[in-house]
Amino acid sequence: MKKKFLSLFLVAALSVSMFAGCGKGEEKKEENAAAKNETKTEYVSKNGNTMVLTLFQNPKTLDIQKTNADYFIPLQIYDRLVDVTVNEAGETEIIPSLAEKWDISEDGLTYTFHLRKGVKFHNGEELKADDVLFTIDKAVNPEEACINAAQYQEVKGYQDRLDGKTDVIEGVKVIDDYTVAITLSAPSASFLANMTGAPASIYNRKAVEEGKDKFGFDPEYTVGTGYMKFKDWTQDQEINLVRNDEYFNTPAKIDGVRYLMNIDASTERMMFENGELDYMGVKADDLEHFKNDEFWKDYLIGYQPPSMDYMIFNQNDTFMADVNVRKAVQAAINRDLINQNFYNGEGTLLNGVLPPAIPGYSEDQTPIKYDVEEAKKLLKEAGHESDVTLTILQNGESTYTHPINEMIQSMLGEAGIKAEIKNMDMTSYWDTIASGEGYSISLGPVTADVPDPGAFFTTFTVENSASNGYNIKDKALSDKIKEANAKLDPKERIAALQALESEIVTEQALYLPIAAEKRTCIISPRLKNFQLGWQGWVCCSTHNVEIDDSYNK
Amino acid sequence: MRKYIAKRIAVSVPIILGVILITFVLMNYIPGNAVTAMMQNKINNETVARVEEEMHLNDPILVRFGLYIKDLLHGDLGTSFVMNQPVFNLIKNAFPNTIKLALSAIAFAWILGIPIGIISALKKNTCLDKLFMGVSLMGISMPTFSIGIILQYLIAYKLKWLPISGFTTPAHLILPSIVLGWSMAGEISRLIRTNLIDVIQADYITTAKAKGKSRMGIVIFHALKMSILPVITIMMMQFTSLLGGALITENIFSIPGIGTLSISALSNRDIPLLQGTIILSTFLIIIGNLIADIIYALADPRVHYD
Amino acid sequence: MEDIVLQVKDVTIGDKKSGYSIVDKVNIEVKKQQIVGIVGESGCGKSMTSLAIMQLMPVNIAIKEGQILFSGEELTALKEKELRKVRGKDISMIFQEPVRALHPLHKVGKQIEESLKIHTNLSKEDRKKQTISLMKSVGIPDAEMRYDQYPHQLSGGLNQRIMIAMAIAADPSLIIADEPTTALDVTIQAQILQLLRSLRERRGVSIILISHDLAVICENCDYVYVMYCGQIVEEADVRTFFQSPKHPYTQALIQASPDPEKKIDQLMAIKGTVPSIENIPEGCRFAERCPHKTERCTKVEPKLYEQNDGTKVKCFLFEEGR
Repeated sequence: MKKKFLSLFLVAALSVSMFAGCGKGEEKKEENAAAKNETKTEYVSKNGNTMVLTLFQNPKTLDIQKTNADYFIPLQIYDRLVDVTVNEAGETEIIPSLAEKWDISEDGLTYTFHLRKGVKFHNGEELKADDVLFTIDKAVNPEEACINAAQYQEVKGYQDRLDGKTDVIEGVKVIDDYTVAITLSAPSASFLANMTGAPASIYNRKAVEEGKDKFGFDPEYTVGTGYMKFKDWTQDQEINLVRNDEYFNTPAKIDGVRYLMNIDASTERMMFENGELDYMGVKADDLEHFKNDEFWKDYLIGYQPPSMDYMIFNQNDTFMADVNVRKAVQAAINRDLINQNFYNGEGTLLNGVLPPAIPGYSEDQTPIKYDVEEAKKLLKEAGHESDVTLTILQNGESTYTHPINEMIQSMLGEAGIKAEIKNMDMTSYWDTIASGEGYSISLGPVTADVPDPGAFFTTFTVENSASNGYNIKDKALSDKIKEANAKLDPKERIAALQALESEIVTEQALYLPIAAEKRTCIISPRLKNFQLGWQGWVCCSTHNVEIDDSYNK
Repeated sequence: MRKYIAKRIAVSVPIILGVILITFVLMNYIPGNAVTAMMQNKINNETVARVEEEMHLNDPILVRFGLYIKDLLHGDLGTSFVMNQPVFNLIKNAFPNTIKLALSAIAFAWILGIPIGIISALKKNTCLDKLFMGVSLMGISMPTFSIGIILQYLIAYKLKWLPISGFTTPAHLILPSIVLGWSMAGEISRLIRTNLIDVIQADYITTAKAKGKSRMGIVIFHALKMSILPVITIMMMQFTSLLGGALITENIFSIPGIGTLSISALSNRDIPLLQGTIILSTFLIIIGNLIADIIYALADPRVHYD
Repeated sequence: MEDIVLQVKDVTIGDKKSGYSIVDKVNIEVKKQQIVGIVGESGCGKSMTSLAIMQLMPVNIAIKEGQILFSGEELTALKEKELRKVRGKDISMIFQEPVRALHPLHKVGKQIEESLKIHTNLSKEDRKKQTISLMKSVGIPDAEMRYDQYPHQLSGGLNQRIMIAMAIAADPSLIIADEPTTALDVTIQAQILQLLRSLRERRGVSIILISHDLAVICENCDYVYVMYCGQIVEEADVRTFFQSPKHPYTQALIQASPDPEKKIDQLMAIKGTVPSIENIPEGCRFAERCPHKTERCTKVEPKLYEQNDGTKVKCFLFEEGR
């Protein structure tokens, strides 16, 4: 009798543990069921006038020229020459930031920036044109080994400086203390937009030269002009920012921001509901839970970021090199079903090159049709009726792609294409993409970080596609893209780029856009005046957000 | 004895060197390197090639290995590729957290495990014994992540008795220690129970009884001393493996210890940092083994090392 | 009556779970300064009887019936706490394999000292002094050096001397020696037994000496009890016993011991085997193996019949008390 009881007990315990063990990051079904009908009656926070957010990974360094791991903090502690805003019509506009005005020369090559006067860095030094020169030259200084040097690749003298042929980048000249002229090697319609990106943040020469190795880590030297100051960093644990009361524009309202790191997905939700976090991106599994909660449903925010999910077609793969196979893959994927299952039916199916909210986005393209029979026909014409095997490369860290990849695998199967999923950790994944070997297709996300269509189109040029996974061989289309992108008149440029969309997507089937997902996030009730950035990033909200003290303990 | 210790330490040097060499070589065969990890989705082959040159990642393996060993002999663990700080500092900052966690987990395991083992042995086959052994078995067989998530959910989130994650106050130590300590306590209690049951049947226990010694006195001074000997080795091993970093627990509770450091070093292909953490773990395991053997020799006069 | 140190009265010992009796209605008496021997083959219950005196039996075994009186005091009625005062102090025990009976991790000196620690109020230095003198008195050479050694470093003989020193440390009146020399060499055996005998003179202790070896009993005891299958089948003083053994079992035992003087072709073995505790037969337990078996023997259990020469025999052959 005792033995029976013990074994029943053990079986129960094991079953519970199996449930809990199903995937570290997924929610337990029990958790959802139990919490579903819970009503939050008392929300309290211990965080005072500080907003608390999470960071996906430890940023490695706050020198944004040397890492792509985190843009959020650099966007708050540094400023750029120009900034982005969204006007009433919902369009993005370039506005002055550190540069209060600028002149562009007739030939479109030289941009003369007039800097605001009296802008202070966090160490008390005033912003001068020399700081701009220093910042740009640092990025392309070969001794610095900056991975984001390419931020300034349009500037004259870029390559020579990188090759060590010159001591300072030729294209940046200090005219006087508050005027700096940047000359490009060729006219570019996207230069200003590019200067809004986080890697174009302006540094203080004195701080960086004094700080040397400590720049990027030590708050004393890691200074910018931004509305937040970098206060401290406990590696792998947290980073604290505090309000810059001397900000050149309106200062922030909150006292500061705390970023917590290495928060596991299940822990994050618990902490958010407990009042320890002020914001959380809501995944599909959690959406139901929050929607059904009397208290939390009012704090959900839906938004459309300038991002999309899409599928890379690697033309180094023998099958994907054939345009008919590529068209067949396009036809075999039932994007409506993917939308229903993974985007709650609320995603916008895309048929072009751009995601919504990017200048040039339009919805007049030929829709990509889901047609399994057509797919089979195309394969037959290509002589590959039943022998196509494709490798789907999967990024282990992007867990949301995993179930979608499985669905894609079975959809391809129905068209007679055998697909296998190859999963890799994040670093190996990117290395494989860059090498172009060992995979046929891959599903992934992209979010624009500058409000300009150029990068989305130049993805498909021969030069760029050698590193980004596409490995495109068609020089003719590549040249057309470069030509269209180089047009200076914004309207002409957009029209020329748009004209190429049908060739890229339909005739050459260079890739498969899936959908732009309508995303949801949820905020703490103590946040007032909360506004996501134009990219859908929460870091930008910290400037104007206010915290309602009544929720604080 | 001193000669023995010296010999063991001398042998550990080639072991550590061998481990470093193997890691070094393996890291060069995994796809991706520090630059790839830094660039992530903005990856560009020319940039990667350029930065690799600038960071001297393309020098031949043996040259780099030689330079690494040279620095090592001077006590320099190198600089992290990615975090741009001396590896020694990074480890120095993370290690205390791991030590705190390890010590409190071990304390929990021993303080709970030993008495439970003793009580179970003395009350063999009663309900209490079966309950204790059942709980011990649960701790041993349930995977760390399920214990961790369940406890976190029930105790921190639902009951709000303890913080959910982080590592700033002593209260933050409690849940992770329980999570780690439960399975260790289980191992210890089961071992002690088995050993004690055997030992209690021994002749010298009857002798002690015949001398008029009290039951508690017999258990503590005669029986326990014998039963605990084999457990010492296990406990030492448990402790040193914890010092290498309890990855899953650190992840669930967001503890910035050696485990977290090693994982980010690996995913960033940060070779110097990874080597640093590996040297640390290897060294700890070797020392832990040595200490366990020494303690055993000191405790049991029948054991001789020459 | 003050003469009698220990009285085991009608004691039956059995297994708690199964209910089988291991020792059946045994009566033993030990007088002051007397060496009493209990002899019998393995499994006859002699060890169990000796353990029962101080209630040292294994957990599942208990005294079912009877009393054990020590100097008039009823041991069987004592609680554990009071028993502990008796153990090691008034009564002490010596076991068969000294290396196993001593704690491997404690120094031998400390183990002897432990008895003093439990039962006396001596200071630490006094205890050590006393221990060393005890060690010397039991014939351990280099006592100061040996004090710090461990059992595995000493020979079997030396270890047994340690055990004896441990047993006499608190000055008991009764020592129970359970096969103390069985595991030792013959030469050492003689020394140890001589030592035990000397204790009787020097310290006035009584000794219960348990053995399966008749020669040991013969040379060292004053009075003998023979046990078979949990019962006492014969008791007598040693001289009378060896001159005229009465019980068929005893006779067979003596015959079975090889006599170095006689030259024989075959060793005499007793036919048959000892009954197991689950299958105790009715009547006399030895009947099946007895050359003098009668019908009555298999039905009725004989009592212990007292004889003219003082012997008591559990056999119908001696019913009239010749």
